[in-house]
Amino acid sequence: MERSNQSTKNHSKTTKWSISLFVLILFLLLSCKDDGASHLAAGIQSCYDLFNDGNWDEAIEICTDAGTDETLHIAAQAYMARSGVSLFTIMLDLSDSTMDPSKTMFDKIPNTAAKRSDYNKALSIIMDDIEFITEDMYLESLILSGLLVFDQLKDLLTLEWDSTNDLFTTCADSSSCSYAPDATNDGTDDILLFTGLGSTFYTNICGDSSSDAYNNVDLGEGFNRDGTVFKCTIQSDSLLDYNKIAVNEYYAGGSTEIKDAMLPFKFYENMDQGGNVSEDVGAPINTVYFCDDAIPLYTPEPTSDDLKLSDCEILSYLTNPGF
Amino acid sequence: MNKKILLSLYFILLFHTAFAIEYRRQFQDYRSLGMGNTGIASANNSATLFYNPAALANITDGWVDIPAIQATYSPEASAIYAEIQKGGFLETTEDQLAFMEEYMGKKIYVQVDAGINAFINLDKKGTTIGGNYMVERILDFDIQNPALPEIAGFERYDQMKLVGFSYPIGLGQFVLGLGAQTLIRKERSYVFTTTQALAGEAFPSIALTDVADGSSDTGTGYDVGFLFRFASPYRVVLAGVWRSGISMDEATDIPPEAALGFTMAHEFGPFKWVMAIDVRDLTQEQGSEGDKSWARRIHGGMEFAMFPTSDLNYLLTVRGGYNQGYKSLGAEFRLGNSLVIGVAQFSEEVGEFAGDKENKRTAAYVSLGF
Repeated sequence: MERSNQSTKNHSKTTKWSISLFVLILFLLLSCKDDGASHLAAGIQSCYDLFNDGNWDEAIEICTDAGTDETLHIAAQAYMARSGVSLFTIMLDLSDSTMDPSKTMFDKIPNTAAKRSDYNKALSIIMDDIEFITEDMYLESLILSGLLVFDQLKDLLTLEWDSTNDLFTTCADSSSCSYAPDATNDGTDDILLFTGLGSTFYTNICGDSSSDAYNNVDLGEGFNRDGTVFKCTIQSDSLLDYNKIAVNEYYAGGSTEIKDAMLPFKFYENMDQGGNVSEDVGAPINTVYFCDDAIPLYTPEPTSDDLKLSDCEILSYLTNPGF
Repeated sequence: MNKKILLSLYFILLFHTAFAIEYRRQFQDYRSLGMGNTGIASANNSATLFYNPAALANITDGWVDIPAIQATYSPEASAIYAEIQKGGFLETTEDQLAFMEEYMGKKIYVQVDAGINAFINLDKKGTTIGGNYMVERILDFDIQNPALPEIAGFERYDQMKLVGFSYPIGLGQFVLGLGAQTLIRKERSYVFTTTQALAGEAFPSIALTDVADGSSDTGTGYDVGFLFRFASPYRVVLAGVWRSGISMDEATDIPPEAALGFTMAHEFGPFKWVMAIDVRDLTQEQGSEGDKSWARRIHGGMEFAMFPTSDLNYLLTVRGGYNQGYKSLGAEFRLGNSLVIGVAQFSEEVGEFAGDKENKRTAAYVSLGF
């Protein structure tokens, strides 16, 4: 009887111990999860999952860390998505034949510093970090660089959309552009005054800026020229450099319909046309060119596709920007 | 609308699609799933041959299921049902776009297993033979890519015939199990994008009992397993199995698998407590390249059964466990072998590591038999 009781006690004890041990193991198992991605495929998958879930901030971080072309492209798309744009939504809007393509793009211009930063980062990832850039990536770069240049022109021109007449209005329409040349008389001489487009515009689109100052340059007949012409040399990794490359690559193939819609956004090609700008100051001087080889120390006459821009080319371009 | 602009994106905006990262194992049953998907040592029902043929020795009676049906589905699966109720599946552009918008980032999973099973124990010592004839239909949709929404679809139809036996060796502590399987597999995967929807293309037609236009193949495989039954009143069992896998030319292979399991059972009065731990895929063949996660391969669980109707069967059972980093729960009502109703709620890891991307699922089972 005693042996039986002892056996029962042992049995009960063993049962308690074994159940306790098992529950402990199960409890440990429940906390047994991986800390994170430990292999490349895991990083890639996490990138896609975060992107699919609309978790842009984390997607950008994880996708950038994963570092493959495909995840870097997702990171770029996440930057764009965070700012409210995607290639698809832009294409969807462009597909609306009742909308002017330029107006469609005008609506996508980044309107905050954070959005500008995201557009720039997305563009930089595609153009600088991705090794094998595909056609759709070039299209995205064309659009991003185009929107960022468009943003600069919007400020420069005080560009607005007149929904009543379905057209863009600019400061030129009301003769209120800050850069407009002015012919004045200082009591002794007639003076053609031009203060230029400023350095910020060039720095933002070229990554470079310089200027030539014209101080009382005698044009003869009691007529002087005064002021400043700004200029730049387009740097690699600048907006216009990206725009140039993206246009060249996409237009080498690409869809005819998209290429037609994107014509106004070939900013490099449209701006670096070698156009000059002049002001008619009347007889006997008549036409005065702002960039003039006759004044060799100053900004020379522009030539096309030389990766150099000046106020002359830009003002010439602005007479017919295509939008 | 100038659709040409959209259609020009048709071929260039392709998104990454990975279907291989989920461990797609053949028929995993409600009991095992409720116990954290353990069964290498503890299986004792109609799904035993899908875990370890040697575990047939756990079966101490015999039965025939006509039929056995299990439906496994994720919470969003009702969306598919709702679409079918409309008279078709994503038949209009509006339905397609609304579906993509509503379920962006979701995984919709439906799996139905149906078949007949027969098992019989011959000597109460562990000699058991059994077989399954089952069909398994999987519909799996990932709605992805917010930049250009798309539905990545995966469909599979498996027809599985399994036979196996267990045989105790020596004094009966060691049990050897052998199993064989023939498999007919049809499957296809596709990506249906927003641009296709806007172009008015039809969503791939889905037949519930077949995979249209899919790749098809046939293969065979075998399993070798063992049990070591310790001399203990607590039915302590150590088990292992080697599954050869099945090679396919046209469809997806089933990778080979080695696994170990451990189980113990306590019986007291009208109750029984079963505990089990499995370590699956010891050679790490499943998942994507570089997936060495043990947390995804360790399973643990237990069940608490009440009111026995035979040595093997209990009227009510509740279960709980751990599966790939997530908890699982289950319950069962059983009237002998004539009616079995079981349910399990569990999570499947559909990401790349345990705790990465959880897909909650429910498995509901019913069988009639004798």
